[in-house]
Amino acid sequence: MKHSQLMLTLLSHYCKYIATVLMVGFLASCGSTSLTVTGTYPSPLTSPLPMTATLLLDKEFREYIAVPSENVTMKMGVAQTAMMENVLRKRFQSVTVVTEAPDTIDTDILIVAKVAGVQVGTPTETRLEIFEVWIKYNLEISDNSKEMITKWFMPAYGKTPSAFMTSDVKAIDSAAQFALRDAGVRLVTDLHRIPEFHYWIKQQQRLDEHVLKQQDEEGNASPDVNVDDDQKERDDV
Amino acid sequence: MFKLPCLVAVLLLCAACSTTNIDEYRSTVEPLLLDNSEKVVVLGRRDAGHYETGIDFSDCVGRVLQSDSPMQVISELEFIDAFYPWFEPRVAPKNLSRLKRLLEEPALNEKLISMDIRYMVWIDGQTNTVDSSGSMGCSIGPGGAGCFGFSSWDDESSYEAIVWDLDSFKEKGRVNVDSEGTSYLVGLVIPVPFIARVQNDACIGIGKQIKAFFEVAVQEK
Repeated sequence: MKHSQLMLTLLSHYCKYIATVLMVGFLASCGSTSLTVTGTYPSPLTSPLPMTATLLLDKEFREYIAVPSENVTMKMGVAQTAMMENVLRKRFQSVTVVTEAPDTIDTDILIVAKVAGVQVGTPTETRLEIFEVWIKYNLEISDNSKEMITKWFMPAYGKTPSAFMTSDVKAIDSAAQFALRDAGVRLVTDLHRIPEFHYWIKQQQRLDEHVLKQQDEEGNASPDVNVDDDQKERDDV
Repeated sequence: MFKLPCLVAVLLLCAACSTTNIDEYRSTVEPLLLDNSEKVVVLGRRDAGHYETGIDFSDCVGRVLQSDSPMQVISELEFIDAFYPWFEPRVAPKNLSRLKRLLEEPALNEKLISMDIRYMVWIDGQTNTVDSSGSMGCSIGPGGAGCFGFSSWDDESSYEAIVWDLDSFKEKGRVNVDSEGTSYLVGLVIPVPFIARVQNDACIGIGKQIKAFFEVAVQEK
């Protein structure tokens, strides 16, 4: 009994301080939004480009934390790594994912993905009843001698409607997931259309065709050689 | 003893009023036949700049189509994941000729056949707050916390559903629904909401109307 009375006295004594701390905490939490972008990113339904690729996603990319405004912090490294890997694995015949720049490239091309910037639009800023997220990527594509083929600036966009009782965290997470899915769309539908990369692919195809043609010609010529060899052998005998 | 009447009274009070208007157009008076293996998918349009059809709304319409019916409805998320990225907002086909061309891709056509999807229902629209009035103030202090005041707002839903037949690549019908209602929030120490379920009413209205388009042939075992 004495113990509970003592607790009550202490509580009433410190009530002002507890209330102040709670209010300060409440006000501080009102101002900032911190979230980790979630979601699952499916493999695309697409046919692969006729080449192999090395995909470099470094530590900075894998642990990327976007700060689009002073009040918003988004951990999006894990989600964007999953999206890039899932999409690009289906985009090429085979993909080797590395975390550090390789000394030699054993595939046809090297792709280096970097985040150029992230922006967030909230209903209070835009006066629209939607949350928006823009993610800008820079994709550097080089051939296996590390000669740059192209540097592609790839913006992606996602939005989600603001619903009654939906938190900002949930809405920004959802918009960011749509933006990452949109980045996947661009990798499937636009990557091979970048003029420099498209030209490089065509050039490689022409080179491959030329090599095949040469091999065919050599292959057709070889029976004659064999005949000659056979004749020579017979002459020797 | 008083729990049930109290609960009923609260539920009645919480259901603020809304009105719903539905228009429909069908290309034929004949019902759209579905055999019991064929499925329907309900998708939301998200290509407009200033709004988008919520995934919760298309899911709600899907649930209405399936309720008390043998109709099989594929969820939007399952469908767009299976066909990723071809039904994402940036590239989703806006007309039947584009869809037909898209499905000429063997991988996509095979997927469509394997999922046995016969009809595609596209939903386009939004629910938004058109007007609000009143004010509500909440305060917290050492002596306690509470909210006082009164506020109200008007919600308006406007949606259109289009039914595409994936066998003939023809549009089979359209349904338009408009719903509106006023919600209230009364602050009597604790805030008491009286919410008009405008979006839910629009969903039920559009769902029931689309459901009436179809006739599912149930095969006897």
